[in-house]
Amino acid sequence: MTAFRLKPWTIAVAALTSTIALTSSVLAADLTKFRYALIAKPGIWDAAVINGIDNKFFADEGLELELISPTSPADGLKLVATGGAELATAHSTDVITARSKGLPVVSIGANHQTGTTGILVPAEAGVKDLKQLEGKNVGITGIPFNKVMLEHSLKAGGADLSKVNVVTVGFTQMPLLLSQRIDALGDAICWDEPPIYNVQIKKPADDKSTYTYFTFTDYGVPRFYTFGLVGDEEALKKNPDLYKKFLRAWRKSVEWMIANQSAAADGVIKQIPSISKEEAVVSLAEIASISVSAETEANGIGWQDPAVWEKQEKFMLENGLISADVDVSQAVTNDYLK
Amino acid sequence: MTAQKSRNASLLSHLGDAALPFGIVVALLATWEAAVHLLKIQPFVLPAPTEIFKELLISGPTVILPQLHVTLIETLAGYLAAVIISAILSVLILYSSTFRRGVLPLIVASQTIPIITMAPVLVIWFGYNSLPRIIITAIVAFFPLTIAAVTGLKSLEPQFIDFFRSLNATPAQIFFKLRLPVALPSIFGGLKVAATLAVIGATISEWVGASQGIGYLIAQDTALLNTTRVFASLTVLGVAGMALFGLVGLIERLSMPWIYARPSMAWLRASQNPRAPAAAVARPRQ
Repeated sequence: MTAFRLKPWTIAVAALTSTIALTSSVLAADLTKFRYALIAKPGIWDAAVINGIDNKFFADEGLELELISPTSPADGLKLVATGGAELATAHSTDVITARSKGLPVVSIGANHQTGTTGILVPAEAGVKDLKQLEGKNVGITGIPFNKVMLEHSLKAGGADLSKVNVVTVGFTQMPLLLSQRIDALGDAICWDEPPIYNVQIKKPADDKSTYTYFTFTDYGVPRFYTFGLVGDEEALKKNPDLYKKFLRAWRKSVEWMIANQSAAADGVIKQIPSISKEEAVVSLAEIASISVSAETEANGIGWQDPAVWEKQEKFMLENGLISADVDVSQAVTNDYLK
Repeated sequence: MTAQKSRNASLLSHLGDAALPFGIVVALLATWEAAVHLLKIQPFVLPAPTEIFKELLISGPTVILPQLHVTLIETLAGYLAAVIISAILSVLILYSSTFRRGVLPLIVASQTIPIITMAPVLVIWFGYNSLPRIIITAIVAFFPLTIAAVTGLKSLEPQFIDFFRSLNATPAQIFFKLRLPVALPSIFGGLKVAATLAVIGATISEWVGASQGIGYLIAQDTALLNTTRVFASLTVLGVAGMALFGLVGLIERLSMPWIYARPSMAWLRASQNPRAPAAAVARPRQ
């Protein structure tokens, strides 16, 4: 009978494995699970959070993020309001709409300090002002607020609305534009569609000469926040420290993303290989520029001015997107950023 | 006196048939209403039936019905296209083994494609008009129709064909006087399934590339958290689907008087009634 003898290296490997396993389980046990609903499927717009996880900014605050991809932006808010997620990314429009429907949701920080939604027209169309869109097909996604902003801007730009063919095409705008089924994108976002359009027509992603862009806020639409961080009123009150920890890590993540845009793009591409680096870098440069404002310079990343929310709420009420006044002081707070 | 008794029994049977689903619906609605109130479920998650009914009264005539009109036109156009396509396909499948071997697997494969992913492509191909939506509706509806028609047309026992041939019947006469009448119950089964699927197809198609229709309204209301109106729209869609199903059922009755009007065919009618006693279902001896 042969005696079973353990060799020293076997013992060392076993000890190391056990230590790693034990440490990992202890670390995992120490982390608090935090369910965070993205605005939809993950994309370059989530660069801060995706890289923040990789860089362990959230783990350093004791948080283990579980990312949820809801089917629509409004679903994220429903998840938060029903306890299905601690926090959701949402447009300020959706927060105001949700408050008007009785959802107790509160925006505790904003990724984008201003919405850049607007009309993208290929340069070759020669459209220099919005009146020249008369007789053309303008495709929109169907997001109600975007349609209102488009119509408001067209009117403000001197166009006769009845002469502009606004068509709802869902999220197939770009193929329709490229196949000339539509003449313009009616609710593009400056950091998303322009680089995609350029890459598709084989131009440098950052080439601004290939298209004309009309930003809605230049036509009387009030400034608005987008990609906000939205939580449930009760949950926020119950566990403020949890949300403060998240916001500390998130701020670090955004700052890191602004300072390391190329690396941030690589971090997202590692998770979502279908994203083009060229498009991602241009998108991130735009996102970085709208992640800061005079208010964030003074108060830090994520800060929101309630007056901006009030103007947006008034705009929504005037345009029939909400049927009754919403108290925006209940819908937004900077308390958790402090 | 016997005829009167028979009529009364028939009326009672029909009332019984209607009472069961009605009772189930009432019980479900009552449970739903109670659950919403007892569990304090928020309306954006699940509105109470009474709230949906109120919404139907408010939005029904002014908002939902005009949109339903658009969806119904697409539904009927897509349904009609599906009927024509499946009629051609089933005849080709019946008479051409090459076609059957080559095309039937493709027809089956077409049903494994999530149709919603085809919608944007169809919009790009055919432009921004109702054609892509009619095509989607037809794609959704044609499959059960084709399968039912082929099954029905092939169900004929060979001796009947031999009998017709012995009477010098032409192939066209065999098809129209023998195969088609025998296949009609199966074809109408497919038509009824396709009717409800066409409503679903038209609604889904409006999620992409539409500016009107009940599917578009549902998408808009979902974005605006109008969950109660989403349910109200779904209710109207359900009623529309049932109406279309009922209409096909009525045409079925009128098209097959040899089954529905003759007392001697009671066994066949009874065989379609799950509540009929087993003795009534047994087929009489030939």
